Amino acid sequence: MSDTRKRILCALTALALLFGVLPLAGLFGQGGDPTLALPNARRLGLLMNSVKLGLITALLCTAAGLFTALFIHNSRFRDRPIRFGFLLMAFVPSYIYALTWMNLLREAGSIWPALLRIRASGLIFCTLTEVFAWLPLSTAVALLGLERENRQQLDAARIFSDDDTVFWAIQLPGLVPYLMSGMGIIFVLSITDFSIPSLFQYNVYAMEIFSDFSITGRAVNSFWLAVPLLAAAIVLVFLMQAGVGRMNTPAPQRQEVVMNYSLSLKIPQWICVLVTVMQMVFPLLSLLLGMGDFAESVRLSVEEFLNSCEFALIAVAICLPAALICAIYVNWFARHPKLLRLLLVAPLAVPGNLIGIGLVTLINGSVLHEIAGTSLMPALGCAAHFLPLCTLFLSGSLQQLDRAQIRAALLFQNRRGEALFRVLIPMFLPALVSGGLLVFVLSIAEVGTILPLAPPGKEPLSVKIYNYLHYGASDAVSGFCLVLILVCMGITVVILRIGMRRKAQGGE
Amino acid sequence: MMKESQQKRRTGTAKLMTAALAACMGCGLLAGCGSGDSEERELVVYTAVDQIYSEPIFEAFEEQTGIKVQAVYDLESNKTTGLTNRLIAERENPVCDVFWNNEFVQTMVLQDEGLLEAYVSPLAEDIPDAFKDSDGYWTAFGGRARVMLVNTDLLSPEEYPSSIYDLISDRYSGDMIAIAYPMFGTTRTQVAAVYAAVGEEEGRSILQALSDKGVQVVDGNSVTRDMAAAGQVAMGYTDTDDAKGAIADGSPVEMVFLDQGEGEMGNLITPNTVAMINGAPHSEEAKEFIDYLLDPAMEERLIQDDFFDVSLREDSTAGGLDVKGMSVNLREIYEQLETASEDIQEIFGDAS
Repeated sequence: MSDTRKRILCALTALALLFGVLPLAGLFGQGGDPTLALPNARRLGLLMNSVKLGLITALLCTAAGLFTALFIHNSRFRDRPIRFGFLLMAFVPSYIYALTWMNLLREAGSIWPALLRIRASGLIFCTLTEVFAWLPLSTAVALLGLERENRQQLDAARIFSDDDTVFWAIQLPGLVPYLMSGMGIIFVLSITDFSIPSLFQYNVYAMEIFSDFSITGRAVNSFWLAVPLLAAAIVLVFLMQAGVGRMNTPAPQRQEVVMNYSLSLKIPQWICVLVTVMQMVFPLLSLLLGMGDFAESVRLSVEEFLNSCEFALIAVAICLPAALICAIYVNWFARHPKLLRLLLVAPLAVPGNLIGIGLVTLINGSVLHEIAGTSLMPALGCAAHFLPLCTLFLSGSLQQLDRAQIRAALLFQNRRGEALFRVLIPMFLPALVSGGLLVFVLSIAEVGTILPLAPPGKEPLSVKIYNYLHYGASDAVSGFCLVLILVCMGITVVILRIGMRRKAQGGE
Repeated sequence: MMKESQQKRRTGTAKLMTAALAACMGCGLLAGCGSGDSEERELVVYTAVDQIYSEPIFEAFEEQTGIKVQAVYDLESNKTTGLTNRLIAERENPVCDVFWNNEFVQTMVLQDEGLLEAYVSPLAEDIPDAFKDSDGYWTAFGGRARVMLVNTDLLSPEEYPSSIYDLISDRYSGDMIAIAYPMFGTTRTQVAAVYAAVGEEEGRSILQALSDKGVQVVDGNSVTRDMAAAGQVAMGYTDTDDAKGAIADGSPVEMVFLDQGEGEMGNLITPNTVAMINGAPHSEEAKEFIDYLLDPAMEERLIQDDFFDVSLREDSTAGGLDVKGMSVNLREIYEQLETASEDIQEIFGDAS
């Protein structure tokens, strides 16, 4: 690539990087108290609670995800779209997901009143619910790694050792980068969430930020309060970097050999699959039992769902190219890729509502204020919020591309852009589609970022769900959640079918 | 040949995807540029009132006046702060015309920030001065009350509490009582109101005693309602709108208002407030909507519809609950908020 093109790519990456953190700039005009970044004794205790919860959740979730993925990968469903069925509850906002368990407990309490006396509070209940809520994510990450493992290497090893030894010596080390990435994301999700801990009365640092924001109403102070969380996230990003840098395994391979593990590896798989099934069936049951008139739920949610789709689609259109540019530059051209990756991913820990309020402040006070109150605002907010995650995801996938092939295409292309459309994008299409789907689904379920940005008269479904929840209309909420699950699953199935057809036709 | 056709298909897909992304972005830009040209009269209302109650009122207003209402709702968990912050962030180029709040504290915050415009509605004449800003920046109307929702399966009528002091006595253990996080919302306002009524020192000792008892502090008034309704606690402090929902569901619960006796402090009533935004883009429509909300006939209708529980108007015949309110005014409560909040953070903010 010529120096000029490299410079252009560098400038575009800088712009994308700026886009990810620019909303925060809107907060700094408000002054604020930077000393809040240094936690006092009480806040340090809360921070320790958050880190403890985040680490335990991330570890348990990753372990459970690994064994569930192992089971799926060695089952007869391994090549069928149904293997992604475990994602069913991933589309339900985590707070609603936690509530479905509470409701179920209450329903069960009408049969066994002793259950009602159980005080469902504290670290254990909170951790269990978070593990259940994010198990689909950790399973997806582990499955992604398993589908990209080197079969030739495994086959060679199996000639000399039993499958258990192969698992510990070859499969697991190969999966470590993926597992670390997943663990890092779950850790960040856990330490930034206060909704589930508050349900189980477990005091965490994110609750302190929200509490301060609610009392003082000063978003900039919330940013300074969030700095310790950012620091914790940065430590994890360092660990994740080690993982992403080693994700250099080949593209997915068709699995022909089923591993035959001993009981010591099979039993944890069965337990984790049971947990995964419970994680889906019981909350789904709770939603179905709690649902009123489904047709009415559909009627009540159509407009809001379309609004959510509009915001999410525009967010994908903004986020995906920006993340792709960042990923290409970071992976292939950056002089200090680790530092750059850190800068890109660290804002993951910034609470969504700060991005929202920051963006409103920034846009409203600028020449661009005409776009305030339009669909572009929530889309920009979601794109900025999910840019780090999307970049991280595309970075991992980009590692698997054959750069020699791309270099050759760039060298021999007849006209500018031909290599991009005929080689790079087609090669990278599955990852782009998956990245787009990730941003779409996250944007659909997002509340914190969208709330300060939603245009008047255009309420998203996620906000409507929370509004109805407060009223106690649990039947409507159950119906809305089922609509959300069905549509998101429908989209996933369509994309998987397209992927299958492409495979069958000999595509990537 | 086969390879070539696959290649063409792949290139086609890549171009299609790029075009789709460009189309989405284009739609976004069009959405960004295409506002404000409609000749239809419209009004932007930011409201913290539950959507299930406010939406039918917007629809009725649209039907009566032909003015299209574009609403922005808040979440219960945000406790109005989300909307307040959004209004502050939008101060340079206001988008909102009317702020309809389900409480009064954040409305006073906006007044202090200079974000409200005075409008004295002719329909608010009979609302007592204690519930109106002296310069006309906001008007309070209707309201809900704080209430103790008691589980009738777990407590008999003679065991019901009658005063806030009963809650800190030996009559009940901490795990029998649920309150919402007192850091925000109406629970925080109630703490400030108690401070205003009994003094800071006495208020703090009540708060400390509740904390020492180990009362269950949960995520919101709706959770305290659900816990009392399910029998997870014997009683939960909540708002009357939440409590009435549980009663309507047939749960074994009853509403109990505290400190109703002669010489007792009374029960907190939290009125709705409505205000016009400074620099509102549709100020005429905003005034029409404020008048519409403050109409006594509307208040009566809203009480009959169970939206409001009490009327603020003297000699009102609108009905509603018979509750003795606190003798302190809204300004006094607002002025106690900071002290109360600091104490709440200190007493209830400890890590578990």
